[in-house]
Amino acid sequence: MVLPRLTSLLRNLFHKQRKERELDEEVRSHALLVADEKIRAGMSPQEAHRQARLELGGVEQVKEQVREMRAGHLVEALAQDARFGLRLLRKSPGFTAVAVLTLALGIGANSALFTVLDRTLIRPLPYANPDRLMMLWEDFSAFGAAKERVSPATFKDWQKRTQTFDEIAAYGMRDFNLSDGGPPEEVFGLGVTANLLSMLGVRPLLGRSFAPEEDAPGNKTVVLSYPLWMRRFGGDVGLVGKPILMSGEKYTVIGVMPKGFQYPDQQSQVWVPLGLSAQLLARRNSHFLYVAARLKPNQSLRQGQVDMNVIARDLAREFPASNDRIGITVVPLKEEMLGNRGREFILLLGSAALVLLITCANIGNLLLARSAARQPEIAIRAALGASAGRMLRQLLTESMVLAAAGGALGLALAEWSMLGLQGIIPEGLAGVVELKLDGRAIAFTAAVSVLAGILFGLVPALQLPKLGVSSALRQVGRNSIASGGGRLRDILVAGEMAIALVLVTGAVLLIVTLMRLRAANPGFRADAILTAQITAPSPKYQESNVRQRFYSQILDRVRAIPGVRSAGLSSDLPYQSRGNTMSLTVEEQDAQAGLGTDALFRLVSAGYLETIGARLKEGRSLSEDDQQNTLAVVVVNETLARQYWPNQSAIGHRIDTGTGNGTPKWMTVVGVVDNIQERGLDLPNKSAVYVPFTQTTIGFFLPEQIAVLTSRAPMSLSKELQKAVWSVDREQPVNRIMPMEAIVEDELANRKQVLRLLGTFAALALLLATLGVHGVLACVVSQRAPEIGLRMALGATRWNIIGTVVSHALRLTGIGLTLGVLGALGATRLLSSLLFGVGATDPLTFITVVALLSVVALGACYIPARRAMRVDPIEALRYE
Amino acid sequence: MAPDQTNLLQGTLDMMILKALALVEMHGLGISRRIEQITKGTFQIKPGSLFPALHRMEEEGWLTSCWGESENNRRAKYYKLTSAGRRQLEVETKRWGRIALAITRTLEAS
Repeated sequence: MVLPRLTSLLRNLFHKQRKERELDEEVRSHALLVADEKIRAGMSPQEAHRQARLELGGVEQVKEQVREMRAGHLVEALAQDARFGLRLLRKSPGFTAVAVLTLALGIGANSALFTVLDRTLIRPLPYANPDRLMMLWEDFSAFGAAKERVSPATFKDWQKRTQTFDEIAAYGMRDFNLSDGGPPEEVFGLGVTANLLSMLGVRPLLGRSFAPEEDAPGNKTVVLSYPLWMRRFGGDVGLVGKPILMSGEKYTVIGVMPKGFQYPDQQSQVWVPLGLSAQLLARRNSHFLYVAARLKPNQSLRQGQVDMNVIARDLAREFPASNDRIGITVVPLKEEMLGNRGREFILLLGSAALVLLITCANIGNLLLARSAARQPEIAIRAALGASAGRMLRQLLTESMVLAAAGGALGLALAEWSMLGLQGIIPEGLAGVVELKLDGRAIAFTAAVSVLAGILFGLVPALQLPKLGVSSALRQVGRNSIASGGGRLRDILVAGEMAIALVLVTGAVLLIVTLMRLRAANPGFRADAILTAQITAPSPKYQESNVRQRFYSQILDRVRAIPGVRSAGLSSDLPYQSRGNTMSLTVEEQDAQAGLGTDALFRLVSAGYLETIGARLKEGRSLSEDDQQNTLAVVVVNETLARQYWPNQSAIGHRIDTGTGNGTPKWMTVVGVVDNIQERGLDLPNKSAVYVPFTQTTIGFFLPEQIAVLTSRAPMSLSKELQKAVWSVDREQPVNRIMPMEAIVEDELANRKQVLRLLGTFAALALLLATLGVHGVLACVVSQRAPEIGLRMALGATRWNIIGTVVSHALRLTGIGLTLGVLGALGATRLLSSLLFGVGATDPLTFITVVALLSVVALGACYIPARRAMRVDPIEALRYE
Repeated sequence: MAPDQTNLLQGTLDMMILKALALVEMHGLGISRRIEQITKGTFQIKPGSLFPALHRMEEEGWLTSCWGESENNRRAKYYKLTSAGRRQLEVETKRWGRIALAITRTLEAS
């Protein structure tokens, strides 16, 4: 029985016109037959025909009822509605353009941010069992750091004692000077325990990964990343089993990882065995390992944490000298890679959703105004047999046409924004996440579009049941516009103001934050400085004398470049490291080297502090004369000086930072500098020491960062800087050449990205809300023109009239802003991790934003108020 | 499309139309007058119910239609039962019998 119905469907769709003609004829002939009957019964022909029509109950109604019965009716009706909708939209191109464009912005923003969220937060990491992968840290919360790197002996204990993890792997950062076939190049990599790559569950494309016995000191095997293998070795399959030269030593290539594999980030291109010596493995006080682990299949994060807590307590009891008060922090690998960004993405998607909500309210409002104007048309359609359901469907179909157009354009906008958004992806995922719109994003866009269409389509539909056919028809031809939508419109606009306030407040808080951050005194200058990294490879420059000579020569050559005013070296430039500390002992004081007594350690050259513009508070800076055979000296920062010598000068006192290979090496404080914000703009200052590299022999700090103060544009110096280095060592790579200003901007990058998006959303929201207020007031004025005319005729002044308009605006704005402030008080808390120097509920910001929005809302009254003032009483009353 | 228990009224209307057309082909008004006549005026089928039903049943393949002349020379659309329509009439009749029996029993109980 399906088949005949199906053929009917096709017939109905393709022979519509004939079917319609026949139906019309049939119903009319029916009426004639009825009339014939009545005439035969003795009625006058005229009366008979009237009666027949009455009995029929309306030709059009019957026809519509038959149509609704037909197969394919729904398709046909939808197509008809869509055509009708399109016709209406074409007739008002201004409205259509504004609606489609604002919708496209709203939907596009949502699609783009959904894609970001989907690619980062929602999709699993590209490893096997990604949900079970965790990072483990030593928890130094008692000393101010919840995630400290792990000491080798502690790592070994974890491996032995854990009940909940089936693998625990460790790694440390390594870099190599790859000089085989081609210009010397610094490649970053990891020294890893043998189980790391297999734990991640990614098999090498070629060869194999490390065998357990290869994780031993002196083992020289290496696994390459796909990009490095392709770029440097042309994808040579025969490379496996052959040696390559890295930092002057031969490493045998045993494997190549597949395309798209990266760990822990894009920068890491080679993996070698960690190969810790037995001596290093016994250390509990040196924290330099990163530890990743995999939970057993049936264990939860919570169970893992509980297990590690027990282990930490045991270790603290057994090794109080190193592990007292030290806990263990378990963090899912994904959270580790995303950092705070996951929360930021959700926040931004939420903001985009709010913008779309305003857009919907605005379009709903415009549709409401139009539907008020269309009431006569709707009444006539109802009289001609359109059912309420059918009309609701028609209104919704029109909205759907709008939503579909907005969605399509929005998708195009989202696609266009993908490239710009790529920078927002956190480093750990940057290589594996390529932002592009896929099926999921398109499905999301479609769903959002439909939802938006229903949302704003329902606004005018809410007014439908109120329209009695007869009452509406009675109004046809009169100039009155139903005011039924007035309340609804006011509510919508107040809502728009509220949402706009929330978004604008967020944006302003971030602007204040950036201003505070830029105004904060970092203790160094960023302009006119070029920086670069020159890492002396270890075997060649193992000897501290050779290394020191190498760096001294580089400094001399660089200082000779024309336009260079000064140059200096440091183990870390500001903002480059949150840590790199050494233990600190102060002579003749209780402060003994131990847990929590440490200071940022910067191995620097003479001239470095001057180059970056550090301000000397007391004593002298480091000089070229501080050499191996002269008094060991150190410059400390103000925090350190104040902490240990609060009421006296620090000059002349002696400290030890554990650089003496087991015996104290006392260094005399010769100078105190103002605090330099070494760890970043928003972390508090910490004690810091600046130690001349010419007086220390320790190898794990290298004065590898160079800062050059120049009278030229910093980047114009880069070629000459490279040449100067190569004139000392032809094989020495020079990396990360960039102006100091870039490092500073990098520090602000996160916030700037969030602000750029949030600011755009806030501006859009403000614009839409303004349009909304304007629209409502314009409508109020035109509705009340007769009343205004009457009042003017009765002696009301223009100011009275303006007062009416403005007070309406104030009522709307007042309600909207009150709601908005309440909403913002809750919502801005989500921003607090990004804020600096300003509270999430900063009263001044809130007052400013409220004032700003009030002014904007009053501005939106201007045109309607002027129109109200110009209402001509005679004209207005004549129409009544 | 099995006959639906809940669709009692529509099925009943269909049955009456099929029954009216069982002997001879008729136009719409003829069908409604015939039903009035058989039921002695109990059922008066309004055009708003009749025509949608006719068109639906035609789409189901139970009826065919053609244009012809009425008794007083008006052009009218005549409906005729197909063999599928006859089978449907049997199905509906049996179903009605069952329902009528069930209702009678319900009323006779107690």
